[in-house]
Amino acid sequence: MGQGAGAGRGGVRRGWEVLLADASGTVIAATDPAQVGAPLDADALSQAIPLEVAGARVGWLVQATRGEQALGETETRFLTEVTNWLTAAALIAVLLAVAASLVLARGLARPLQALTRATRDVAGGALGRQVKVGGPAEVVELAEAFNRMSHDLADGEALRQRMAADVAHELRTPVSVLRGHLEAMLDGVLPTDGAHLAVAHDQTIHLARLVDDLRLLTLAEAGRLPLERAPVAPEALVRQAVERFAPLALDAGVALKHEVAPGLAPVFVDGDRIQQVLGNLLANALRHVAQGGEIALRVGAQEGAVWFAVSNTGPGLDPAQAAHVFDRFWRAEDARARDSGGSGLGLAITQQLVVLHGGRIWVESAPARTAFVFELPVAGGEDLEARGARRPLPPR
Amino acid sequence: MSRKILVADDEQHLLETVRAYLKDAGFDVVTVRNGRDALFAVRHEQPDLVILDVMMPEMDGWEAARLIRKESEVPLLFLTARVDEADQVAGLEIGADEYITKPFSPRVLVARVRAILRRVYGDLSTEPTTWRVGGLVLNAETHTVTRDGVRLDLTPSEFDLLQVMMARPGRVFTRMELLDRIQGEAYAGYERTIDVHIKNLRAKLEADPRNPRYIETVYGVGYRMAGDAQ
Repeated sequence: MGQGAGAGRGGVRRGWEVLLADASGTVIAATDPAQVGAPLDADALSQAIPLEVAGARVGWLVQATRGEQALGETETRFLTEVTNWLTAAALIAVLLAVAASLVLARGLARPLQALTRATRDVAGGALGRQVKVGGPAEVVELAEAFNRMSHDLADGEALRQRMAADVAHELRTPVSVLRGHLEAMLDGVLPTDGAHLAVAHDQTIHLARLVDDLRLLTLAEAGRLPLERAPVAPEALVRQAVERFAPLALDAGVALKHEVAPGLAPVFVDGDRIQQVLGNLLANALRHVAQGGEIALRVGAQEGAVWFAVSNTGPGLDPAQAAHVFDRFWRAEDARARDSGGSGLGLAITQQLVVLHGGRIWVESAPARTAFVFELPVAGGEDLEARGARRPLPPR
Repeated sequence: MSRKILVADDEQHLLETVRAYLKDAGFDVVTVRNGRDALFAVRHEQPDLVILDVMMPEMDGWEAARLIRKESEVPLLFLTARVDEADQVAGLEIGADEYITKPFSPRVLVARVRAILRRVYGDLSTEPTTWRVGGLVLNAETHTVTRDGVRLDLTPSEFDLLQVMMARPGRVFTRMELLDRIQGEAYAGYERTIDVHIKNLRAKLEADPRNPRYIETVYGVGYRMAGDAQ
């Protein structure tokens, strides 16, 4: 549009002329040589700039347009047509611009309105609400980010609800026993003696333990459990765990073996937390192994990591059970039936503690043999998860 | 002849409490620790009512109930930590007569068992309906209280409170427990409302409310109906 107008003005500018006349008004030089020698007419004189030298008029300079009359008929028609076309072009351009902006606005506004509605829905509690992805690339990106966020929120909420339901469920049994026993003693249905008080007392210990474990697990899952890491010799970890567990194993009639490969590099861990990991795994093994069975704690190194394996000669887990072994509140059936305590959170906590240390834990099971194996990074090494693909399992 | 109740639960302490309460209420009790044994016991013990936990090893309560229903019309009562409405509906659809969620009051369990037996077998209630402490007589069937033959006019809350305490003379009740018994729910901080009920009760049934003979205050604990301590 602007260019068209410029070209038009250029055409008119060709009609400018410059005349130089002497003091008498006779043209002595002109852009149009045909005018030389002619006198300036009155009209031209009125616009003329007087030229003076030392106060004396020496001539006139005239800058003038040639005027429309100067244009030929063809040029005039050409100009008119150009003007018409320009007007038409401007109108069409305005219409096109309006149309284009409407289309663009709709393309932007529609998905944005949908996003706004969906955002209000999510704010109103409809977590997991998804929007249809469409429109310009930026809007698509926004919609996808929104969908991801909404999905994650719904996941988090579902997890929280499942956790609350699990906790409520786990509290029901000890509270039932506690209430039943205390009411029965108050009502005189059961004698108020040491044995029955001990059962009630045990339930309160169980409840207190459950509360502690839940707090620990919640902190660990949120990554908010502070670790006091330092290089620790694997031998020292094993020695301490074995010393602690030997009396329990002896009491249960179970052999407790340990075997540490020589020359292991120190691991960079919070020693107390790793003691907790070993303690949980040994306690778990003790729950599942029968009298006369065996528990073994082996330690070795592989590719910049130190692995610890706690194995037992218990009944073993089938693959379906093995898949759930780290789920909170999951218990193998023999553990439930044998009333062997445990909050059902031990292995979930164990897994979280190992992961917090940048390590990995898994279970290997075969009939009559189950091994929990975890790897920890050596001091100065990088996190094992950061290395990507899972490396072959260490030898048993 | 007393009715025989089969109780299946994998938590032995719970089993002990339930057994004690049912025996105290005059029932014969058979207990098992899993669903498979429950099925076996239904066949061989011919119980009059079955109480089933849902989460049990070997065979869960749902499965046991389904199999029991194939061969018997024995009344079933589920006792479970699963509180979802969907679970309750599923339980009732299998053919259970009642669904009690943990944690439960064993006394309520016994009351439900009696109600089912009454409904299914037309048993007359084995529960006592009249209690007597000194000159005070409470009749649960006619919902009346008399002192030395004179009828007393009590509110429903006062009547429930008196019934709870007269059923166990000498047993101490905390304010919280009394609140739980008369309202079905109790919240900490509201225990003192019991004091108001007790004060009104005493005004109606004690000759000298400031020197009560029937409802005794146990300082720092709660209240007790005069009578043999247990």
